[in-house]
Amino acid sequence: MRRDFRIVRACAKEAMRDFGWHEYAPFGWILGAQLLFLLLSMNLGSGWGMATAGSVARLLGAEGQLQYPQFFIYLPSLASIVEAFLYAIPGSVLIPLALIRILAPMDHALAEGYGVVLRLKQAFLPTLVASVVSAALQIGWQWVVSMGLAPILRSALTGFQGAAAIWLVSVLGAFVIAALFLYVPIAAIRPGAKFREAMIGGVNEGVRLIGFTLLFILAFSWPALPFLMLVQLNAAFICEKLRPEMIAVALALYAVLISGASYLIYASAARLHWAELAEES
Amino acid sequence: MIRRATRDVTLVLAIAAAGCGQIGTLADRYRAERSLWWAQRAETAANLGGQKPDSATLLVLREEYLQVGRGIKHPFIRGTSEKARSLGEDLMRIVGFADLQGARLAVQANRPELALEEMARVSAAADADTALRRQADFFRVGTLRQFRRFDEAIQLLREMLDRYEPMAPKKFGDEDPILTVPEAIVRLRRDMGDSTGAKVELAAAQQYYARLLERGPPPSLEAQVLARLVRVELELAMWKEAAANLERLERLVTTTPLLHPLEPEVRFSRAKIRGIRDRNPTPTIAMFDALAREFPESPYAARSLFEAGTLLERQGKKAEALARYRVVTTRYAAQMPVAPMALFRRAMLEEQIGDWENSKNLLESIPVRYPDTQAAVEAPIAIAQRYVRVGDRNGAILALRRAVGTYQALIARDTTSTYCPLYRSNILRCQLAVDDWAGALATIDAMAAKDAGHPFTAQALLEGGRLAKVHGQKDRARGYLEEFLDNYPKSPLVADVRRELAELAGKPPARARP
Repeated sequence: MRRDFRIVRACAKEAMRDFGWHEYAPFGWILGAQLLFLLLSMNLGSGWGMATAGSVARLLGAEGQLQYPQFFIYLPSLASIVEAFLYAIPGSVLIPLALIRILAPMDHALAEGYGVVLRLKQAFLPTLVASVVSAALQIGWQWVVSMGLAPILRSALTGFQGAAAIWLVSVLGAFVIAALFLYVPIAAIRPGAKFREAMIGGVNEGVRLIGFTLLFILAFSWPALPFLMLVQLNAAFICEKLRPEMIAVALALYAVLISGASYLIYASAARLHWAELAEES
Repeated sequence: MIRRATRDVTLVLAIAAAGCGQIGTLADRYRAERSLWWAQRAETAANLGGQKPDSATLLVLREEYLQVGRGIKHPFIRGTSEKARSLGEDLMRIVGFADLQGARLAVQANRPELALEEMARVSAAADADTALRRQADFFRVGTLRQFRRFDEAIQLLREMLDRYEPMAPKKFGDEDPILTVPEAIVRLRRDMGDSTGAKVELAAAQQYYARLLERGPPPSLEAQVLARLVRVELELAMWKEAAANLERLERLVTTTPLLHPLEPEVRFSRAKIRGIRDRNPTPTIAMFDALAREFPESPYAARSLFEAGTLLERQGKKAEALARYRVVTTRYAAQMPVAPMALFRRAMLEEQIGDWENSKNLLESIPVRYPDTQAAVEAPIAIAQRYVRVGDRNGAILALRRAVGTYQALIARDTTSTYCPLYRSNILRCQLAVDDWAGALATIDAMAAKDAGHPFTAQALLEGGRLAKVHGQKDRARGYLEEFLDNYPKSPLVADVRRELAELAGKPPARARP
């Protein structure tokens, strides 16, 4: 099968056209948890805010950050850890569930509701491992960027341009890593898929389709990126010149947009995967 | 298995419960920080545009600072653990700091009573938190000084000496502000024009430092106390004691590597003692010069050059003295209080060697470069005195009128300065010298209203009584003399003033009270 740009575009268009709240709901739960966390973070002055979001920060060894307005400068980092946790742990069940719902029209067994729990069980471990490995690689990538690339870029570009270039390189690298593991949950929900098959098959597919997957990621994620860039590069400025709570608002907007983007990326990738299977059979 | 799981769960719950104990305090601290941040922001916004906010705005801003502590439950320290105590102290400091900011705004809004009340509250609430309590007390002293409540300020400073034990410096260069308090009291007395009181306080300072040494402080603190003690003893002309303590300080500095940076101070004091004991000033001048040469970055370099200049001036070596004053005024122009004194002396010498134009320029620059210094008080009058010396009457009158303008500008620059009574007193001197009796009476009125209790005001009131009587304003003269009796009941001139008052009333003079 010749996967040209038309097929990729068709998959993306179909993913958007067939958007359904039922299919999106698992991503919505993750989003709900993220928004709840941000709401709690905005209320650290109350006992319940400090007992929840504050305790999460303390658990991560950031007790010193529980001060106003420093907490809001730390919040983008904290929110990204919470996001990574939510997409990795509850996401190991919720993402395969969303994929099962997306692929149900194409899979008769799933359409009739048979074996959903079984498929979820078989997908849990590979999805979790893929998320953990992906997170570990992302941390490694951040280290490479800060230790190796950032000084080079800073010497070439100064001020905001330099910071923006470093941020862009860091985000693009993170996207590549995410793209490599994107097909693991898709492969894991295939009937009778074993852990090894799901991991190797998923990563192989990720490598093979990396260009198209990156296209999906960039196409759907770009509306969220300005908000992420704003809070990650200008948190101190927002705190000082505007109001610190704006950081939480920007993070909430980012979470909403990236949740929708994640759903559309998985939906498009699942369709591309399905099209490949159909072609093979 | 079940038992193990139960034990693990219990352990986790116990850890969580231990953490939860501080959640309330953490939330309170966060809330207090948020309120403080917004209060500071509101103040910054009010100050934007360079215009000073009016009193009403300042009091509204003050209210924002006071909000920080409201709604935070007492006690701040909840629990006995180290963490609970540290968090509670943090919270207390934030609330205390906010209250002090509120007090600062009250001072700016010209409401000292509100400010002092708040500061006293913070001081009392700070309890065991010495840092906060000290901060509040020092702020109270500053406010009392600003509003010319000097006796209360001195009383509080004395209480602070009893209340706070000086702390040893953590690193070289640090000094506990408590150590400066005895000399601050002396300065305050001097600012009040009370030279007798200043001498008594100087003796009290000497005793205080000597008492501190008896307690066996750590070497770093001992060195600081000794350095201050030597300075005070030199001022008190206690040469023998100063020399003995200097020797002790010298030994300490030699044996403690951490204290080596004190060497310039030791050498300065040694030169100073030698200068007083030795009739021939040449070796002392050499000591001062060597010190300035070897330690050019030390604050004692400028002081040494100034001292050398003074000794050379006494020897009649004007050019050499001038050279030293020039170095102080150019290289160490920011060093207070030596630089303004050196500039004044330099101007005097420039005039003596014949360069009046340069001298005049230097004298005119002093009030601009160094306002609120003794040199700024003396410089405008010195110009007029020079014209008098050379017999230029018109030049002297012009200079005196100009001096009045300069002093008025200095008063307008900072109406709360402790130098204002001196400026007003000099304005009076200038007005009397040019026979501007109406202006002089207006100045006396201003001194009576603004500098009540100051010794210069006592003289001004007596002068006012005489002046008003001469110009046929008997009621005004009576008013001045009565005010003198009200404000200076312990003055040795009281009997004379009563007699004058009786004369003004046309009655036989009353017998002086025993």
